[in-house]
Amino acid sequence: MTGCSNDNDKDTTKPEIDMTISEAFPTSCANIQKGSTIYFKALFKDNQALGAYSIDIHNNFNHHNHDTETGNCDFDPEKTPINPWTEILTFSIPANTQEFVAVHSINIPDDIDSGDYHFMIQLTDAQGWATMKGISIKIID
Amino acid sequence: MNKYISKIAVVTAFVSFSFFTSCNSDDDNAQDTITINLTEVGSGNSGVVSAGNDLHLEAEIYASAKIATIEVELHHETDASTPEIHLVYTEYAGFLNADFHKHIDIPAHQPTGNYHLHFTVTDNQGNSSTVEHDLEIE
Repeated sequence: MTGCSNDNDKDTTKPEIDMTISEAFPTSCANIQKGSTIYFKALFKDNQALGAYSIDIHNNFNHHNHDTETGNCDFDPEKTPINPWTEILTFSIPANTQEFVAVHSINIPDDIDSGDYHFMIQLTDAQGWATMKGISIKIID
Repeated sequence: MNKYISKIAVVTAFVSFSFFTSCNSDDDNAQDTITINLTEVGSGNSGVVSAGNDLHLEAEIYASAKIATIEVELHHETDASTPEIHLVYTEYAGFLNADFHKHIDIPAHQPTGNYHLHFTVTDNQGNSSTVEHDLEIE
């Protein structure tokens, strides 16, 4: 009679994005040169099992505020995008993983607009809970 | 007498079976919930965007039966002949919750005026929920 209900072990905890580990990157307000490489590193944790993650990089030339980090970065004057950088990368995480260090090298094209960008990390667990972290970065010439 | 006993047994078994299998099922649509909290429509939640620019749209979403699609539709408030903007996002499929964050390009030739934004979340059970917001394209 009790075998039909699995409410008791239902996962209600979202996964965590931890940017405090050694060499975690990008850090909030980081300046990164056009044509160089972002050495992305983050620790992902979940109480049961991680699912997948994605990285979304887009311009913040008009200063919308989705930085989940505390503290304000020093923004350039607002401007209209001409050739802004947009990148969406998606990755899976091996099944039944509770902790995972994600490491990627992301090349920054050298023909894009420099300026303020958002680096958004979205992490899901196996159950479907999602956590988003937005980090403000600056691409410099 | 044996007939009665077997009948009673059958009925008892049936009732027991019904009882044992009648516990909660997640398939019950009435229990599925979808919540949408539009946190930013237009930069700084201004409700205004310029044609030729991008619309900042941000929302917090929860769907107990997991998200299937998210749709954004923009239509002119009074002039039905104005072209609509209609976008469907499937990248959140399977998520229980999402921090939706998109920049929606508004074409430079989009007529200015007062628009309605419809933000619709459909879950894996086919339930959907829509929230509306006014938007001015200038």
